[in-house]
Amino acid sequence: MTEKRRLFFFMIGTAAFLSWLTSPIFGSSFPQTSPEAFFKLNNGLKVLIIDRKASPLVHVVLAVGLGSRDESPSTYGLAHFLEHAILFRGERSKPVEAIQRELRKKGGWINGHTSQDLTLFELSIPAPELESGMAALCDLVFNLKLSEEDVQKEKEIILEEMNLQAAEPFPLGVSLAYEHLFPGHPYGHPIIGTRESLTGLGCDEIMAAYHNFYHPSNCVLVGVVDSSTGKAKELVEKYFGQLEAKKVERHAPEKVPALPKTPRIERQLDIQQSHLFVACRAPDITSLDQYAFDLLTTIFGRGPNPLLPLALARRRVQVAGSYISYYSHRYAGVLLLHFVLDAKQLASAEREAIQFLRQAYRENYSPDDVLGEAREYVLDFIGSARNMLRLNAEKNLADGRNLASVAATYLLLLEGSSLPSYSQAVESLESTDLRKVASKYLARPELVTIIINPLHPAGKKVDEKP
Amino acid sequence: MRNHNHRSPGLKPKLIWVLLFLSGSAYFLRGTPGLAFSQYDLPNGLSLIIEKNDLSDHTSVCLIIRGGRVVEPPGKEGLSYLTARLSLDPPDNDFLHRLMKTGSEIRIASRGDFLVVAVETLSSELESTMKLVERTLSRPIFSGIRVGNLKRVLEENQKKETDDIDSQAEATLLAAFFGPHGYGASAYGQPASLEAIKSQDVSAFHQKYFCGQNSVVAVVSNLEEEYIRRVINATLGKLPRGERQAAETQPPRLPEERDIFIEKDSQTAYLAVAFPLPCLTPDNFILNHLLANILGATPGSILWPLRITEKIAYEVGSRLILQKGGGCFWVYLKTFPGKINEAKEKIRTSITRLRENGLSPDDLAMARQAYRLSLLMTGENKAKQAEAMAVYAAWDWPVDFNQQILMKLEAVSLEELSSYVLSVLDPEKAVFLQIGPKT
Repeated sequence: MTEKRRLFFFMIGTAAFLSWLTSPIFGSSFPQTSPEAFFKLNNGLKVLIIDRKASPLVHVVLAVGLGSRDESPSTYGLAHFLEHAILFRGERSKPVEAIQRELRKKGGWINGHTSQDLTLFELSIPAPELESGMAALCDLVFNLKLSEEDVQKEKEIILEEMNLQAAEPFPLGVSLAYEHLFPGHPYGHPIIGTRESLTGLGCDEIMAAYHNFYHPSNCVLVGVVDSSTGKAKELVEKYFGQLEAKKVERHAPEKVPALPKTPRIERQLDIQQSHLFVACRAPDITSLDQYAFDLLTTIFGRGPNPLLPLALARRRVQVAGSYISYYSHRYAGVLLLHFVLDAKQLASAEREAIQFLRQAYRENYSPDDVLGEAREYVLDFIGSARNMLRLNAEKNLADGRNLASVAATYLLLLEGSSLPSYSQAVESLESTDLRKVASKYLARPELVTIIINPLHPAGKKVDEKP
Repeated sequence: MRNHNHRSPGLKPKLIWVLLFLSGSAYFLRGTPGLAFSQYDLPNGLSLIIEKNDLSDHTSVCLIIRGGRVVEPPGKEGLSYLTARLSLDPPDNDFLHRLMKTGSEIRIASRGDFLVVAVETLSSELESTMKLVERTLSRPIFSGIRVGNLKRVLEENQKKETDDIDSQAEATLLAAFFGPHGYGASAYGQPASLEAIKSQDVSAFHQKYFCGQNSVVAVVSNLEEEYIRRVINATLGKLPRGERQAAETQPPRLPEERDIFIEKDSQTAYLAVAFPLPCLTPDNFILNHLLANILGATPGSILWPLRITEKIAYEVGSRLILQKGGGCFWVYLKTFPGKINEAKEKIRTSITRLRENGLSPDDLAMARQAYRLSLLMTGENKAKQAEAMAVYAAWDWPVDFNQQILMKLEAVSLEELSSYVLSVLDPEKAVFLQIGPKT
């Protein structure tokens, strides 16, 4: 139920959400948001109400400023553990099972996600049950009482989750990429924690972190509701306005250190195809470079003619699948190339992919980059990527839960930042800008390479009873 | 041209409102996408459904071509998917450049009963995108080189399917209940079946199935209906008329091997208990979804205690594969290999207890609400909404069947559902699947 590595890539990469209030960057049909729709309660909770008229369904998302970056080696996995505990364990005004069952009977659904920077709780419920949903969300998140027995029970489940992640190529590859891109930094350890850290976590330690971080002033609440009656605002004040104000104590964020050397890691799983991951650091969520980097990664990896697989194919390197992602966090970003391919193609794919990244600053991304007849032979990669990003933005607008989650994430992470409107920034970019960020981040990057190979290259398969 | 503007085929409007009033569920329909739809037959026989949805400035188009895996000749598995892929492959660079410019996305899938071509585009790019789709659908190139290249892609897709434990489980269970052909075959075929497919087979398949009479298209968009109708008429309306092909179906059978084990050297083990489903009807479509929600993966479901109390698994859940001739339902969990025997016993006990104790009113109430929620969520996803409407129309069900479900749910009685649950979860028909290390 809980995704661990949903690194907030579900929107348009790295949008500047605060600018929404004056500039509808999500798409041309972003609902009008009046200044009154964004307000702060006396206890510090920031609230945004996005109006969706006459919708039968409402969505409320609470973002809490506690992520894996707030953990120390002895508490790795704590933020994720708390997310599980809040959803499934302990007592509140009544046992958590009773709250969950009542919510289900009202047609509601609540889920959670933990990332490096924050924890999200997402509620979707039929519009007439908004009050029941708000009450349940507030009770679940802010009234946690946990026993040692609850802690032990949930630990066993999370250990199962660890096994699952270690058994699948993508989560394993992503986890190894972060570990080696951020050695010694809080972004480097697994969000789920390690076997040792999880086993060592005690109830007192967990509750101490809960009491420190789970406060309204450390949260953002976003609702996608029909706001015409003013009921949503009333309900927010009724349930969340009662919460006590408290200042959160947290360590100053650690600076992301330079990478000492370029690591290359190999693992094996019982699979038929090999997986190659090439990762490097990228702009963070507050960087002005993020817009050009978003366009660049879209050009590299998406659409009917993505540039990177095309470059590999020109060199006769065949891949069965290629996935290029840009994850932006508060203090760093990550570019991740992922190829699924035959083991025989690994060496050439790795070589060509790295060569491609290093040379990306020399590419032509638009016919405007050349003169005369040569224009006929240069594809309009920028125009295509702009439309792909626009389409992605519009798709996310329709999905109310996604819209609320993205809004809550950006409001929490970009507090105090002043960034231009995403749409305006992307529209104004030219090939020169793309080449500049390619030169800055990709020409001489410290790369992490991860290879996951089949355990039995011949493909051992046995169909018989155990 | 037939126009069912704002009409729900099969139910009189007055009756609908009476039902709504009686069931007290009117609010669930307020603003629900699907009520404001129109339906037309284009001159080439293509059935067009248009739904207005202003949530975003993009458009989803879903073209359903009757004839999926079930119509593939034995020994030529993979033919339907191969044909659809080739039919949408850019024929030349000019086409590719134009498609790139739109920023649109095209997705293809081969299901048991249909081929699905899903297009998502900015509304401003609808016309240019659909012109490109029509161009390649009408005049595809089935050269030996293109067929050969695509076969290699499909072989890689087969391996990807096997490497993903959920896909592997699905493929194994479908093959168990339906054999190696039709519903039971992989969309990507097998190396031998791909080898057997010639370019003439692809041409013949395309000619027979890719035509107006045999297809349905649903469009969910913020654009005006008249404009959409003009665009679709000028593009997919050009597909040859052809003939509607008779629906072929395939009933499930019980496999001889009822305890399937696939060895996988892994830290986690997958365990499933699967049951065949009968021929699909609108009524059992609803009952199947209620069944899946009752066993399900969420707090309050029958399997939930295996996660929360018994601590057997992190992931528990249920899956439905619904096809006209018959389908498949399974519950599954993923667990530590050392717990596999215990898990098997507990899952068996959960099902036995459900059969012996029956369902409670609470079970039904929660399943109803969970199903309702999933339908309302579908309404916020234009692609899912377009596909649902097109599939219903292709099955000759009411296009607004999702809205009808919201009303019919209240009428499902505990006795009716209990009786259906007993008939499906028959231990005599259960097939166990285990993927993981030897224990």
